[in-house]
Amino acid sequence: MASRPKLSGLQKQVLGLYRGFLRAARLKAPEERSQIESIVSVEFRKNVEAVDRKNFLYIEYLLRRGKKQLEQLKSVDTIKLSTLEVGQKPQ
Amino acid sequence: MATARVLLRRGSSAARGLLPAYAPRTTVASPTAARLLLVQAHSSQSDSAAAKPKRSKTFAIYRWNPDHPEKPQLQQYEIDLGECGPMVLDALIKIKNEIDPSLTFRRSCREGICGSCAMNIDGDNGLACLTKISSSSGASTITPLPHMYVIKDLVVDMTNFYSQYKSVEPWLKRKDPPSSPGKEILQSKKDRAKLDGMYECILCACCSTSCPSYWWNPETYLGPAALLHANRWIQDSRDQYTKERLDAVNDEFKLYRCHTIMNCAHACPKGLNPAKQIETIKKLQLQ
Repeated sequence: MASRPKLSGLQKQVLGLYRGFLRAARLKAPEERSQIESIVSVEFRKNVEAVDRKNFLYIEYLLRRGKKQLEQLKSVDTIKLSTLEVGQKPQ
Repeated sequence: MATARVLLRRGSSAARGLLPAYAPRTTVASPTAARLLLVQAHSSQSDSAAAKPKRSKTFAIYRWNPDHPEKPQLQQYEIDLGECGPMVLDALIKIKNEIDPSLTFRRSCREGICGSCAMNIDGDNGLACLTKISSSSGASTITPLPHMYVIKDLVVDMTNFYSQYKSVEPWLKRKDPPSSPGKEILQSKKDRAKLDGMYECILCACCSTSCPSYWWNPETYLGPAALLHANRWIQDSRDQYTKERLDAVNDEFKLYRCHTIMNCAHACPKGLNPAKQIETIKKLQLQ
């Protein structure tokens, strides 16, 4: 196995958040679980490409937002997660 | 039809402006009576006729958009003070309406009672709806509450502040039922007077965000606002959990991070003194 690169504190936080989402998804119903996992992984992979590694301000903002969303997801009353696209109306 | 008599006063341009419109009338109906009346048909007419200097004020406002994340900037806006209300909130709303609709800020009551529009204006925390626009010629700097996470432009994340308020348990707690069941718990006027200076707090966070001790320890130090409310419930004669409340706050970080810096009393837009209430709690801890 190739030696893993040393992860920075910020990277560990992001991975910890991702892990938190997957663990929360495990507690939900099976169909919803796969949907939650797909939404979360798409979001994280999109941000890996889109966000500059040095843009700490934005990454921390995304982490705070993600933590709040995770708290909401963890609640027993939440049963599913869904997203919708807010598009620009063509003038 | 009443004859219009125009009084020429100190060569004012206003009267000169009016004169052409009324000149025929005055020449026709020249008064023999001694009484002269000042008549102005429309007051705005005189304003537009006079050369009124345009009072403009520049505002440098903190901008940061999470959807297009670059470094936060101070963006300059210039507005005409003659067409704007006296308060900073009026200026912000005017900028949002006429110049830049993307400017984001919280506001609700516009009269200093809701605490939504708390922000840092020219270095001092305060409510935008209660802070007059300074008449100095330099630019006015408006930034969000210091040392708070920014969600967008002037909107900050208040969840930590509110959870600290919640941790104080700001509700009446009793061990035994009220003396007359189904009725209010009675309180003398003197006991009610003890709560003055604490119940008026609107949770705007101006005090807590002005405290350097709160800047360095926001998660552990409760901050002046939460401690003011803690004292409000400690002082309440109807509450029976006074000892438990004092023990809950009696922590090196929760209470004793206060080093009587007194920024909170300076910042409070309602004129309250959180530092004094914290001192009261500290004194009670000694007993």
